Amino acid sequence: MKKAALLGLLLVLTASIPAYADGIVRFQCDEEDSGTEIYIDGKFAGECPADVPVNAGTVQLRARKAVQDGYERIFTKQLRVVDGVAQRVEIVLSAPQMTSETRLKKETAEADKLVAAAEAGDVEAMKKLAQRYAAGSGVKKDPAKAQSWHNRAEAATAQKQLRAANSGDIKAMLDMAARYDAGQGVSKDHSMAQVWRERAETKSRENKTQEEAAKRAKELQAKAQAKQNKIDQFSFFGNTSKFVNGAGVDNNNITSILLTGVPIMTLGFATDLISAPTRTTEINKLKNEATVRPSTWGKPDSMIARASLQLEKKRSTAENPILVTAAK
Amino acid sequence: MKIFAVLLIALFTLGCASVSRQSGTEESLTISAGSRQQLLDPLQGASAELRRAIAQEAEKRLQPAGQTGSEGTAGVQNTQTVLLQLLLSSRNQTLLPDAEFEQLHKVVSGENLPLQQSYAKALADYLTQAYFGCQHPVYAGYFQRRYAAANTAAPCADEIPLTVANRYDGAKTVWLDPKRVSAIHLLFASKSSSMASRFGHIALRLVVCPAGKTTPAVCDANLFEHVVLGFRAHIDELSLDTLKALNGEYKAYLFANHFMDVYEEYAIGEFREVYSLPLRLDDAQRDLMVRELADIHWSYSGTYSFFTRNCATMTQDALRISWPQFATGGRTKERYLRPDSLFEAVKNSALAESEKLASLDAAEREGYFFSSTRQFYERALAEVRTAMKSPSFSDIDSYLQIHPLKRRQQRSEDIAFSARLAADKHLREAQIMLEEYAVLRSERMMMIAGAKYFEEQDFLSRGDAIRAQLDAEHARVFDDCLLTPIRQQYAPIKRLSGIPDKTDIPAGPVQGGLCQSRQSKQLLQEAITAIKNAKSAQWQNLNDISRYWAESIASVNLLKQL
Repeated sequence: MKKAALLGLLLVLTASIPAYADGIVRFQCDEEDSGTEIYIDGKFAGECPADVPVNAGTVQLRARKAVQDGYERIFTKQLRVVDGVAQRVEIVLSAPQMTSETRLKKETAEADKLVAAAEAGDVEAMKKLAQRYAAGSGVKKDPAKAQSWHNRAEAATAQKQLRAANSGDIKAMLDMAARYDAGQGVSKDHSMAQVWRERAETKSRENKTQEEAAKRAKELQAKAQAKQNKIDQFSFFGNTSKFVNGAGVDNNNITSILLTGVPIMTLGFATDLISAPTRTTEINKLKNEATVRPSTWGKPDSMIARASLQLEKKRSTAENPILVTAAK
Repeated sequence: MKIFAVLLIALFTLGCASVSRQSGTEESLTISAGSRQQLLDPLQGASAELRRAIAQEAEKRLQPAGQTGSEGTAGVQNTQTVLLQLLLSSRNQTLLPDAEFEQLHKVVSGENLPLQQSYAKALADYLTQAYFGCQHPVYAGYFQRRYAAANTAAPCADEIPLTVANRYDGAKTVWLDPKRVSAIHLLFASKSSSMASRFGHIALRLVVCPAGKTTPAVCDANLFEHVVLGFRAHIDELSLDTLKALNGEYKAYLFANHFMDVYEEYAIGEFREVYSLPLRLDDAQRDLMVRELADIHWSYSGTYSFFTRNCATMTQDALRISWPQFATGGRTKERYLRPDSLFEAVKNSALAESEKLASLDAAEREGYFFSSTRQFYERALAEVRTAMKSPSFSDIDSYLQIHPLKRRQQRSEDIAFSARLAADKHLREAQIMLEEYAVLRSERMMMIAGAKYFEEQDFLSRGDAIRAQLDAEHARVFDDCLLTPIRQQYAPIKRLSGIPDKTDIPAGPVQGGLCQSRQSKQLLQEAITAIKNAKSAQWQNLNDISRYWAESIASVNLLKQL
């Protein structure tokens, strides 16, 4: 706490005092503290500097200095005055604080605002207003009004929760169930409380299903993304650079592949493996076309192109192939 | 195979007889008078020298009068067997293989079978079996030349069989009438960076005409039925062992492939140029060469070495025994170890129509030259790039690097390009071509990835454990359609003695026929899925490439529908 300016007061209690009092309290003060009002047992006793007659016994000392409109600095202390004993007391004035009149005005103004807001339907305002009427803070203490505003606040809260519950908010549904059980903001109704609990359970199950579905969708999306990434980052030649670079080893493998059965079977196996909607005859047809297309496209008068045309013609006229396989 | 079985039984009975053991056999073999006469009867058309030599050998073993039923240690009962025994035990030079036969034997049968046994067997069969000339045209021609002995030749069947490999259907037997071969070309694929092809590859191309009445031009354009016969190594494992290849530890055979598969392999798969040089052969020479190459195709089993016993040496050996002019030609009689050297020698000789390659542009029109397709793909790529708003690729490799789904997405997002694709056939074809290239390229990689997965999983050694995971039906398919082909890969290719006839070859594909059915494929897929090792990097790789391949195919089909 900020220390207030020091007001030095020397209280001197003497025995040679008028007969109507047990002693005189002398208030001396610095120049800047002059004008500080002195109260003894709540009665104004003068302004510093001043000599104030005080009866022996316990007295309530209060010093006050106004600092600006509505604010003051104060000091209070209980003193025990003993006849013939002198005491030296240091008094520290407080930081500037609202005067009681000012505080009352402010609380009254706030209460007026709360009333306006509560009347407009602000639930929080209603709750605060109920508290004020209960405590007499800024308004005249009025338990009946406090209860009234409390009830209105609960009713408004219940309406708000009902809307939330109807829109699928599980917590609001459970709150409504509790309200119906307790009759808080709504008429007490255990069957309605049960309805809202069941609705909450149903909604919870739905939400769980939806969450799982969303999770699955998210996983599928992640998989799709991973696949897309794989496609984007596909490295066709990543593991087979030798093949591309013509280092020869794989070409030799190709040579062996063309000669023997296992790689042939391998190709068939790989074809089956991927479950592609392609069959041997279709692949053969595609391969034949793929083999002739470069020359047919790039050099239409080449023998490859002529052979392709001749084959097409033969197929279209359904001639028998000349190399009859044993299978036939 | 009857002949093959007889040969095996004879060899098993006689063992791998050396000369010294043959002396003992000579002494123990006895021939009755009746058998001697039966021996000489088939030799009516043979030279006097041959008749005399066999008669002398028979005389030496003539059974003393009064003895019966002891015709040799092997219990000879028929002319062919008696003759075989006699020839095996003979030391008469007239009845022993000479240098020419030794050369023929190396080319036709390889170096695995003992020379004299092969000779005795072949001569005995030649003299006693009417169809020998059809099955063994090389040896039949030799015996005819050496002994002026025409066997009682039966007319050969019009068609001869060849086992032609196809990557999708496996190897199939095709029947070819040699008369429908209008030309034989020396086929040369230019060098590649591969060690095995650093000097190119050489083979023979049969220009096969369509059946029925036809014209030379139609024959030339009948590329889809042309056959390429080439000596190549049989890699009896899932990946090439370079050291074994250098040491000649791989078997070599004369393989047959469809020309278009070979074209795809070289001109598209490896961007190599292919030259096809017509050989100057008359009709009889060509007919005989086709039959003799078929003989080698079925019989030959040698060893392959990149630098000393390769496609060049074997091809020239085959040409040398089949074509006298080649054997004696000024340039071609030299020994060439490199395919490019052999090709140049033939091209610069009088034995080939070298003028066909004088202009490569004309040669490409006429089917004597097949350029690398790289230029066509690059042009197509450039046109597509120009037409696209913002292409994300700069060359073929960067094009392939983009996933097909992404490529499809980019095309669909480029509205103007999509519209042009629909309207401009030339551009559309270019775009389809690029997607088809992705199919072909990924197909090759898929095959490699599949082979690596099989190699990694080592299905053969884990066979029992895997079968235990499957029910009976799936286990059967797993055995028949997966393990058996793998075992075949590791085993040498089965050799026959000469050209088989239709009774020797079962109907259907040679390999994997039963596994081609949809049901078998389904069962195999289920079996593989049941035992798959999804954590395997090779499996993931195989999956990725397989899907790339399938999506590329889907892209091609979508583009075709525009």
